[in-house]
Amino acid sequence: MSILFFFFRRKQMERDAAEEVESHLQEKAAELEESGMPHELARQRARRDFGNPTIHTEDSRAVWRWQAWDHLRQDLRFACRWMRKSPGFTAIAILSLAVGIGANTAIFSVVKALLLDPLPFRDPGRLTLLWTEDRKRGIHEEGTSWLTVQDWKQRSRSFEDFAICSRGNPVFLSGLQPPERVASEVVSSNLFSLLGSAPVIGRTFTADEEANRNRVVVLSHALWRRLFGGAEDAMGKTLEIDGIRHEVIGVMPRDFFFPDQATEFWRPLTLDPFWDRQRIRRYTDWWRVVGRLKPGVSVAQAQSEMNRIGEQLEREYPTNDPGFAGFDVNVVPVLLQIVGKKMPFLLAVLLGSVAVLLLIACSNLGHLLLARGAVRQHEFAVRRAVGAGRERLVRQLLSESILLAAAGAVSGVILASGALRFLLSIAPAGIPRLHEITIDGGVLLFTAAVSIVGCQDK
Amino acid sequence: MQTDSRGLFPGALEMMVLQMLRREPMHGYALASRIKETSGELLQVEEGSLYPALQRMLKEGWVQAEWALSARSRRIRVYKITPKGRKRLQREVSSFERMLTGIARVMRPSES
Repeated sequence: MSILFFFFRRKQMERDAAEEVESHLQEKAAELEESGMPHELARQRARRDFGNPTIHTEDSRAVWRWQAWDHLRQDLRFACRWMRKSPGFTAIAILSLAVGIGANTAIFSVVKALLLDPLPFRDPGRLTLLWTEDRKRGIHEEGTSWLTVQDWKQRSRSFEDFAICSRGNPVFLSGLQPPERVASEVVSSNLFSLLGSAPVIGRTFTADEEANRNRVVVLSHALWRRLFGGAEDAMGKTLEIDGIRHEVIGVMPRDFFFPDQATEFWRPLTLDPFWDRQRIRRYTDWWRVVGRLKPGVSVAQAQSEMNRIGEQLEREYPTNDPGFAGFDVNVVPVLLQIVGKKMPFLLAVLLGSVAVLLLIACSNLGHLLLARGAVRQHEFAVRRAVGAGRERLVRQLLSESILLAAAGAVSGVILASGALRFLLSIAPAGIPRLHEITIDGGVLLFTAAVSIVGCQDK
Repeated sequence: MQTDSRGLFPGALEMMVLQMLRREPMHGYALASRIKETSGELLQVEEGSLYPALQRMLKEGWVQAEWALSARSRRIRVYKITPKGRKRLQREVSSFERMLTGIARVMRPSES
């Protein structure tokens, strides 16, 4: 039943009840007058026989369980009045709650967007990036040669498969007026299936197309919208890349990104301008490698296996090429690669501090309420003396704190959205997934609930 | 409230009202005076306590209410028994009769 209907019906029923009582009294009085009783006396007699109309009306009301609602309204009205009467106390209480709730909501929203929301890949916990670890120069994320990756494929037991990808492939969309420089990648044909991402329209390229160096291209959702207006018949159309015509064969989902959101399309690995040379060179750092771990294999296990393979390769392919980074391998889980290795730790520290902040806010408020309770002992004594039950008093206090908490939560949201906007504005460019951050409704509810419970305990 | 209808056991007022309404639809005042009349003023029911009882019965769906005009052309709310109310009355009456018989036997053991 809608609230409006409820109110309407309730008003109507109360009017009915009042009219019914009045008509009863009049009828009785009229009857008594007809039997010869004076007017005034008749009315008095009618009233006396009826009993206390207020009590009977309240009893009628209680039948429909309106009393609970009435009490709640009274309590809330009283709480409002009480808050208005002590504006200093109210302001401090709401402010401390707002800061606690706001800070928690803002930080936890960041944590959730960066760390907890799933990546747009199948089983992302098993996805890793494999880098060459350059001991000599202290560089942890060097590329790897195609030949070495083939050796990894043969020898490794920890990985289901490896996919290979360029390390940035900026090109010109030369067909546009004016031509546009965009970020793209050339990738091995198994990349999409390894990530577990299927195109929303069309298809991705096959191993044959890769081997035959077919000029085909898979677009990002954003580029497809921008160039083709999201038209389904874009498949088969041509896209001129660096002066060469490519056939559009597929579009990836909106949330898909690889390796970052800036990348606009993906072409076969073999279309790399230096493919012929890179295909045969051992001592180069040209490619980026993605690996999918077999189920149940940990990153540490994979790392130690790759260390062994690296030592083998180092013995088998000795070189004194000073520019070569070596055969050591650095295995990085994809989530850490995306958000940064230090990020989880930093966010945990931040989250811990805002949680403590909320606790402090709650305990502050608890003490404030306690102090006020001491001041209000007189008021409660009077209320008890005039007949307020214990339950009724507790209910009143509860309504007061819930009203405070609600006001704190509302101000907290406002504060959180401001804080989040501020955080996003000072964040350095290039933090992945940052655009995905919004105030999370679930997070907010949780924080508000925690603070209400926290205050009730006092 | 039921406890305010002094001397009546819980549900007695409802039972009597349903019994009255079984014969014909009536408004609140008529019900009150009829109960008083037929009981020969033996039952001292506060007239007002009739209305919470009527609300309870409305809520349970035992009676229906409609506004109408009285003989003195005053707006009155007329109550009518529903099939659900009839069923309820039957149950109440039979359990009431069992209770009366039981009490009677206890009070006058020589007859049993």
